[in-house]
Amino acid sequence: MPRLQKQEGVLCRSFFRKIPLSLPTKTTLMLVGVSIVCLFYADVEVAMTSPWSELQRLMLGALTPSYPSMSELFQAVVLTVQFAVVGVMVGVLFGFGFACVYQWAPVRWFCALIRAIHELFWALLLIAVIGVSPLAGLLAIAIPYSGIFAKVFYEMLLQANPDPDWVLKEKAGVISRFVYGRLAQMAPRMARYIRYRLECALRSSAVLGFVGLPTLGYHLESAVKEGHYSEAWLLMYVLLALIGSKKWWFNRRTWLGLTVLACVFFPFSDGVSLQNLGQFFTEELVPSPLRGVDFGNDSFQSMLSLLAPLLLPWFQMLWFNEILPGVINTLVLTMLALVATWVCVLVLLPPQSMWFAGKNLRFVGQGVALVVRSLPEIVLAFIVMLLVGPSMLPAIVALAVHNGGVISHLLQHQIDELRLREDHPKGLLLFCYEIMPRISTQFMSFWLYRWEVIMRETAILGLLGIPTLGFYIDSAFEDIRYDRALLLILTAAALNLFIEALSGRLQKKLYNKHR
Amino acid sequence: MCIRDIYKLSPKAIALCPQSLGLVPTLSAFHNIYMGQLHQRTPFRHLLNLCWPQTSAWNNVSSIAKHVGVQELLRQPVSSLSGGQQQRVALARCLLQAQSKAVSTFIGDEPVSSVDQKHGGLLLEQLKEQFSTVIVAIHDRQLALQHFDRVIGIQRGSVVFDELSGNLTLQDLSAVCREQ
Repeated sequence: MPRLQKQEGVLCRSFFRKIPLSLPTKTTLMLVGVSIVCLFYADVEVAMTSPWSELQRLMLGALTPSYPSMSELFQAVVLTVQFAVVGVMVGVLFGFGFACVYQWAPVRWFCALIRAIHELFWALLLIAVIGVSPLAGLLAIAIPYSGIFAKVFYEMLLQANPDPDWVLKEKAGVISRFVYGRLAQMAPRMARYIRYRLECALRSSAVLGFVGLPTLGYHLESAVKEGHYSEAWLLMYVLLALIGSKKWWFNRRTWLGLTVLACVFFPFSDGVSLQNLGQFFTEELVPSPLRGVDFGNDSFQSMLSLLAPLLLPWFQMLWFNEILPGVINTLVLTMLALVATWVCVLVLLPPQSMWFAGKNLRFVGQGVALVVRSLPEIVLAFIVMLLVGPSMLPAIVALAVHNGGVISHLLQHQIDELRLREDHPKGLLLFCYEIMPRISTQFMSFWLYRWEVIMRETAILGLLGIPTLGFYIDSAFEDIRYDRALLLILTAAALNLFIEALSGRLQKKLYNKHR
Repeated sequence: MCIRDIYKLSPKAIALCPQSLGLVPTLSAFHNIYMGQLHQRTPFRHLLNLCWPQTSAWNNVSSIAKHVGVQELLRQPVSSLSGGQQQRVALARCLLQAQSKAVSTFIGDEPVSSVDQKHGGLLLEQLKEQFSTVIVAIHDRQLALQHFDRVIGIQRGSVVFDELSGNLTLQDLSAVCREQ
């Protein structure tokens, strides 16, 4: 009898010994679960054609970079930098303005909407409105970036220590209190964020080439399509060099001069045609069944009864043929890329850190991370596509590797600053017991933030033929069906807002728990 | 020469409790204590225990936790514990290291500073039972005299006295220790 009791005791203890899962672990498990379900819907077939000859030429191109026209290259570089610098600066200006009134809900919604639409969609829209022009490219960067800056600046200013502001209360005016009490505290962080955003803008600016603006991406796309890999590689090296050398040409001494120069020489009026402007809004954006319908002076009620039978079939057709499959594919790709990103971070992080790679070897890891986070996803996806054929897989790999590079770079700084006890374990155990638990909250918050970024980026992979919403939007623009394009863009924006809200909620929960 | 330098002389034989404790705030008390035996056995077992604590490991850790009085807190993340409780967890981690024969010395920097004098004394006794040598930097004069054989007084980096504790009085220690 006593023996039985003892057995029961052991059972009881083993049942209760489970340690409650931490919030980051729970969130990760949940997202991994969702993405496993997504795997059933994903087209990740590997179609091995014989990629080796193509790959060989690609590799050969990497070793023999060349470009026929140096003046063309120079122009492309100048335009790429101009788009990025002017775009970011305009974005900062408006973003800061919005940040000051961000507590006002309509401003918040407006900013959320403009940043939910990818630069590429903005470019396609603006090109349709004002023609293929540098101004369209500039605005395509400036508009979503002002939405992003507004949110980030607002949050930074909220995080400022309120004490200086409080001390100045009753003694100084609103503006000087704001400038001395809050802005001065956060200015270095804001400057750092602007520098980081410039890196993104350079990439965006290059990618805008894919829709016809003559930046680096424009020449890159045609070089790749025509199989001139030497040219393609040179262009990629130039882009990498631009991003890698950013701190030397865009810093606290040069930024003002550079911005002024970029503005002065910006071809604002080149190629801008406002002839279509009126027609665009009154005709081309109107859903096609409604064009030319004369509503006369009917009352609102009868207008509605007239509209419904016309619009419904149009909407139904779009819903089943484009919106629904587009949304499903976008979500599936996003979830799979998200989890793959998580894996990539775990792979890319240790080689960048002093704890694992040592002082000398970590530069190799950091170099790899720099390359994968500097190359636009679409270029990465194209290379993988040569290997495994067209499916969702290249897109997943490209998104995962790129975002893994970004997150691991951010985390690397943190883990190198950790101060561990002298007798800490080594290698894998150091990573699992000491490092990961300490950075899990931060990791999770970067990761959740990238969720929304990944979803936005699935858009540009639509250009490669992966049937995400971006694919349908691109085809709608190609067919000059702007009514469809607008509806699809708004769907993509809504999806983005949904993910942003969801990830924001999770991040908040995480943050509160952490405190 | 600081405590870290002494530790570096023979890391395999010394269990260290730094002043910062070196706990992982997001991990449970169980895992933090368990980390005392990471230098033994295979990494696979340790990774398994990280995800799913095994009965044997749990029993072992909780028996040690009982000695220092944190057996009720094993499931909680260390960040939710008080300063005194965290010190007990760090000491339990060191006590677990004592189970390996190679580790015979304990070095601690103010290991019981957040615990009241009575319990601090009990904890020091635990340490003395498990380790053949216990070296501790401490400001509490009474604890120093009651629980240790030899006391070295250090002021501004130089040794003021080095005596058996039997030959010292609280007054002697006041020279180097400020009033508590």
